[in-house]
Amino acid sequence: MTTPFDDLIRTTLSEIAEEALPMNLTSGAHDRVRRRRTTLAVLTATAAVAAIMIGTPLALAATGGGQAPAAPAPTAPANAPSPASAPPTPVPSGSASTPQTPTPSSKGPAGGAPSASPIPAGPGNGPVAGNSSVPGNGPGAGNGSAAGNGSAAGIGSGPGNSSVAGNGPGGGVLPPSPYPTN
Amino acid sequence: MDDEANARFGEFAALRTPALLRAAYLLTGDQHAAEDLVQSALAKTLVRWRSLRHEDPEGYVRTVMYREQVSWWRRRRYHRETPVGLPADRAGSDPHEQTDLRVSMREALSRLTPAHRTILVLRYYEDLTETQVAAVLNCSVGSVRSRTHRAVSRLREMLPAAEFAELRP
Repeated sequence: MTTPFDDLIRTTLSEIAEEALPMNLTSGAHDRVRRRRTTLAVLTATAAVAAIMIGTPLALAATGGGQAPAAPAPTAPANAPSPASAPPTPVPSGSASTPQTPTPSSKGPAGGAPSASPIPAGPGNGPVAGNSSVPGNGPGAGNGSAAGNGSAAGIGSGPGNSSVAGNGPGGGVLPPSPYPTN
Repeated sequence: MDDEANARFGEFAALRTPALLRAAYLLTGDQHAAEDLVQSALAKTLVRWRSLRHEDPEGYVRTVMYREQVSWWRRRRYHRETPVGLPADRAGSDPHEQTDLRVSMREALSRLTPAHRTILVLRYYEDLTETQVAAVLNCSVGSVRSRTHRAVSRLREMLPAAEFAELRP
């Protein structure tokens, strides 16, 4: 059962529908499908690349795959002086009697400034510093090759260089020298 | 998609596009919007053409069209435009259309919401039953009934009382 109002609605709708212009929309539908597929493919590829770029560092960090980088080794300064490798300084010996070997430590008969870092054998080795392993050290020479301690102690020790190799007269740890020091 | 399926889809679209466009024009009230709606529905049908070609492709296209129209309206409902004036006269239209009653009805139909207009198109233009409309819109029969009632009531409210009196028995 239809009312006049329903008929009016039907008639009006039919009239409006006839105003539509027929168009061929098939190619447009094909283009739209193609565009949608392209967009989907691009979005999928972008998402995959983003997932790889984010996930790879996280996975590596979680598994601890990479070895930790080695700590840098400490390097010595290139020009650091080394006491052991310091070349012996030729010292003109005050005594002509023992010219056999160059004296590595003392510059003069009274002993001089050490050319390398000295190793003190003891305070005030005395005027007859000894304990030298190098023969012919002047009196007051320091210990060993790095002699030179007690430079004041050697003053006036005279030309009495020790003829005994290795034992300077009046070494600090030796008994007092029988020779006069003055 | 192979060439045969493409050819069959092209044949179907060429044959049924005018009828689909008429329905879309009723739904949207605008030629360009109707074309856009039909094209979108055809594109969605093309994607599933393999599984649809042995069934009822036109029913699928119409269902997509109606649902999409309601979806578009829901998406744009907060910034949609409502016509406030009379539609411009079209050159060469039917002289019978110039009657006040039909002009008023056209204006009232154009001012309905797309959801209400869709219900009226399905019920009064497509002549579908309430059950069929419920199946197309994926809602219950009671919902179709209530929406139809609200749409018709809205039309009656919008028609001028003097013109509406002519329709009273």
